[in-house]
Formats: sequence, C-alpha cells, structure tokens
Amino acid sequence: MKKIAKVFIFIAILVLGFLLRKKDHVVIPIPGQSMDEYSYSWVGLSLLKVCMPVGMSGIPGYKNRTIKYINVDRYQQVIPSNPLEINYPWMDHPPLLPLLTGGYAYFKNVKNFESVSVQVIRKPMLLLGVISLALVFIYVYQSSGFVAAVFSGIFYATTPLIVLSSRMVQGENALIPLFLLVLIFSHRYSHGGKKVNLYLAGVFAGLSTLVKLSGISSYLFVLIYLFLNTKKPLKTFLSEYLYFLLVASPITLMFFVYGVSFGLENFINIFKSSADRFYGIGPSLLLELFKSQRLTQHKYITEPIIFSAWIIFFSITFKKINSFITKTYYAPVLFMLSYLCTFIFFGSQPYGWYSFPLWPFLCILLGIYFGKIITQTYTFGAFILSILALGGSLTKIIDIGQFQQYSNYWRFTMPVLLIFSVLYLRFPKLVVFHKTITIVVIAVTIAINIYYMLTMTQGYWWNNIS
Amino acid sequence: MSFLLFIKFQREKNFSKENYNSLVAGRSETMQLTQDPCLYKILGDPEVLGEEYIKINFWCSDGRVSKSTLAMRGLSDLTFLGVVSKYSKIVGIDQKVFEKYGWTCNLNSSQADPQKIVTPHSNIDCYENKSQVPRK
Repeated sequence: MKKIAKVFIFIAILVLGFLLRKKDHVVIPIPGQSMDEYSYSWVGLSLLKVCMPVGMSGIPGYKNRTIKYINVDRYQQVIPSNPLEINYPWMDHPPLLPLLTGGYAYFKNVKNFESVSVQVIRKPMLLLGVISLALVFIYVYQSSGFVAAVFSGIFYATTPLIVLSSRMVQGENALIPLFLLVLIFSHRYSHGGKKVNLYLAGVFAGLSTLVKLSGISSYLFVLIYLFLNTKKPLKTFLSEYLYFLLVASPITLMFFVYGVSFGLENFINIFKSSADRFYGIGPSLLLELFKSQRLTQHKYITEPIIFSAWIIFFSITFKKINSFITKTYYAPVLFMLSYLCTFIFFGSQPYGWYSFPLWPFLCILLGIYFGKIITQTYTFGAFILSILALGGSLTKIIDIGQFQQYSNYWRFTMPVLLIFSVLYLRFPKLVVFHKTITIVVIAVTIAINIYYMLTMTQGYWWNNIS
Repeated sequence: MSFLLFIKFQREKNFSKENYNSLVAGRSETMQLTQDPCLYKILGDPEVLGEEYIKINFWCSDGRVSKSTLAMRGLSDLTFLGVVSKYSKIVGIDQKVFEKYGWTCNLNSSQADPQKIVTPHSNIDCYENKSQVPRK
C-alpha cells in the first residue's frame, strides 16, 4: 500500500476517534459523577492563580480544610451530594494533570471554582485521547505492521467504554499517552535503536510519575523489559537501567521537592494517610477486571472488545516463550503486568479509572492478533472471537425482546458459519473466505459501536448503564 | 533548591485569605440565575448521614414545591438571611425575585427575622402567595 494511503487511513482513524469523543462530551459521563474531574482542575487553577494547590481530598491528615457548597455545573441538582471538603496544600497526587486542565481553565479566564465547568476542562482530555489513539497506532505500526495498526487504532477509536472514559479528567487518562511513549521508545531501543530512545523513555517515565505515583509502573516495565533481553549480558542491563534512572528519577524527584516546598509535615501526613487508605479493591481485583469494565465506581459496561482482548492476553501468556524481546506483543503484556503490580500495591477503592491504562494495551494486543490472522496464519479462534464481539455489541443496541424478530437469521447463520470456520483444516484454500468473513464480522461490530455512541443520550446513560 | 525557593516566594506574594475565598466561594459567571425558586433543589440529604441540617422549602403559587436539606457545616453565616442567601447562591436563584414578587418566609412556623440565628433541624418555609402561609 502506498504511503499516502496509509497516512490517509491513519488520519481518518484519528478524526473518527476525535469526533466520537467530542460528541456530547459535556453531558456524558454526567458532570459530578466523578468529583475528581473538578478537583484536579481546581488544584491547577489555584496553583496558577494564588500559588497554592487547593482541591478536594478524601484523605485525613490535612490541617487546612474548609467545607463548602460549590455547585459547579449545577451538579447538585442532578447528583445527590453534600458540601465538599476543600483542602490545601493539596498533595493527594502530583500536579501535572491539574496544571493541564486547570491551566486550560486559567487561560480561558475562569475566575473561581464554581466556574470550572466540564465544558472547559474536558477539552484538553479530548486532545489527550486523540494523542493516545495516535500512539496506539504508531506502536503497533512500528512493531507489527500496518494492518495490525489499523485494527488496534479502530478498536481504540470506537470502543464505547474507551471513548467515554477518555473524556474524563482523571490522572489515568494522562498516564496513558506517557505509558505509550515509554513503550514506543523502549521498543525502539531494544530493537537496535540509539541510546536517545532509552533517554526519551526515561523522560516520559519520569513525567508519568508527575501525573500519579502509579506512573512508577513505567519504571518497573523498563526494568523488566531490559532485564528479559537475554541477548545482552547482565552487566549491560545494569548500565542501561542506570542511564534510564539518571534521566527519569530527577523528574520524579521534582514532586517531592514541590511537596516539601508547601510544608514537609503536611506532605508526610498525606503520604501516611494515603498508605492507611481502605483497601477497597479487595482480593478479587483480577476477576473484577475481566468480568465488568468500570467507568466510575458504580457505572460499568461489559465491553466485548475489551473482554475479547483479555482472552488474547491470556492466550499469549499460555504460549511457550523463548524470548520476550523478539515477540512484539510481549512488551504490552509486560507493561500490563507492571501496571497490575502497582494497581494491586496501591489498592484504594474500586474506581473504574484505575483500569483505564490497561485498555490501550488490550487494544494493541487484539489488533496485533487480528493483524496476524489476516496477514499470516488463520485460526478459527479468530472467527469465534469476532462472533463474541459482534453478539456482545448487538445486545447494546437491541434488547432481547426486539431481537426476536431477527432470531431466525441468527439461529441459522451462526451455526453454519461456526462449522464453516473449521473447514479450512480440510480445504486450506477456504482460508480466504474465512478471513473475509472475519473482517466483515469485525467491521459490523465496529459499525454497531459507532452507531451506539452516536445515538447515546444522557437519558440512556442515566437509566440503562448500571 | 532554586525551584523550592521560587515556589515559596511566589506563594508568599500571591496567597492570601481574600484570594483563597474569592477562588473557593466566588459565584459562577456562567450559571444562569432563575427567577423561579421552585425550579431547582439540592439533592443531597445530610439528615441521612446524621449531620446537623436545616430544611428549606419553597412553595410556589402554582402548587409546585422545592424541598432541600442543607448541611449546617457547609454554611458560614447562620442568620436567616445568610442561610437563604447561601441557598440562593448554591442553586442560582436571582434574589431580587423574593422582593419583586413579595415572597413571605417563616422560620419554624413563625415569621422570620432576617438576623435571627437558625438552629439545627430548623424549617424555613417560603411562600410565593401570602394565602399559602399556614394559619396558626
């Protein structure tokens, strides 16, 4: 395929992803469903306006606290809520995301907390969402080729839960592009790239810890990724990681300098209080991650694309592994493992946004899988997986009562196609048909997801999403 | 070290109680004020959480009612006028409407004195039409 056509498809995917994210981004998710969105932005705005980070915190340990009714976006007319506890100097998280959304509000001349509307603060998130989408595409393109990149890109652009989640002002949405940049540059370095790639991985790993401390998973990823490169001696690994640390750690240390500059005692108190937080995710975290993909603490959608990608994740881990470095899809798997480690370690409440950083990696894995199926060896698991995604997506737009009028089409077509999907084992030439059918089923699934997003209203969101 | 000093210097220059209050308690410039006190209410219920509260109800002449419960810890001025003003600010009521249309307010079933301190579990009832005011 010509380069110009590839660029055109890449841009088309970005535009599609942007338009889906932009549609109704002010009303879905409903403002006030996560007060973090406001709090992050208040911290940034107050830092820029009065040089003091002021925000909401559920953590005890703050000396300066004010109880206020701040009815921003009239959320208290929609969401049952009580006055908010405002604390300063707010040290729950590092200030990079607050400076992004609060900084945008500042430049939009927002004067006070009650004026920090989602209409303003979700705009930078739309941009971050599209950057993440571009990075998903770029990583898969450089590691697994164009077809796989198209699959990954389209999955990440159109999967409803990902589209909805990427609109929210949550630290995890700022971690995602930084994690992807660490992945891209680590991959380039491990595949013969210059040392500058390792330094750049260090810069973005450092920056990720200025978003949230769970950004430390990028340190862990680089550590394991370099360590598992058995082609290089252990001594080389140690020097490489030292170089990485020399770049990344001064950036991370900036948070501690920043924290101490607002009072060492306050900073230590918040750290201690964070460490004592309720371990709400419990021991069933992994099970919860697979069975229900949460958006907030209570809103979740079982997302067939993400569920299918988890199956691919497992299938990769079941394979016999000779070298982590030579197989391109092991890097995202390692990043997921690194992030899961920090997720399990930090714990806290089972908020949906803690799982957001896993989703781009899952889309990468699913895209690489379908890319290989279409361009290389076909296996009938691909067809079963595509039916799983199709059926799951269909139930979002047609309820079981409405589906009855189409049930005969489904009951006759699907069994025939399922049996047909294994016939290539006897007649290898049929593979072309199998691949075509799989592509058609995936295309229909994506079309359904786009339709679902275009027709979703605030009322539907409020009443139908559990 | 210079970064640390820079932050400290900037904070001492810019942070004051007045700046903090105008940031945290300032009124939204984009919230559209309503002339209809029965249009909105606060959905939270501090009573359920076992907090000290004040109930505030608006009775419109067309039969509509807006009932809210305010948590006392969210209020700084506990005079009757302070509470009604705060409530009006929270839900975005144009306060001129009360004078313009002659609203009458009771505090615990007696005509309200604007400077009277509102005690926990009090009821504030405001009526658009005097004929709605319950007779003792």
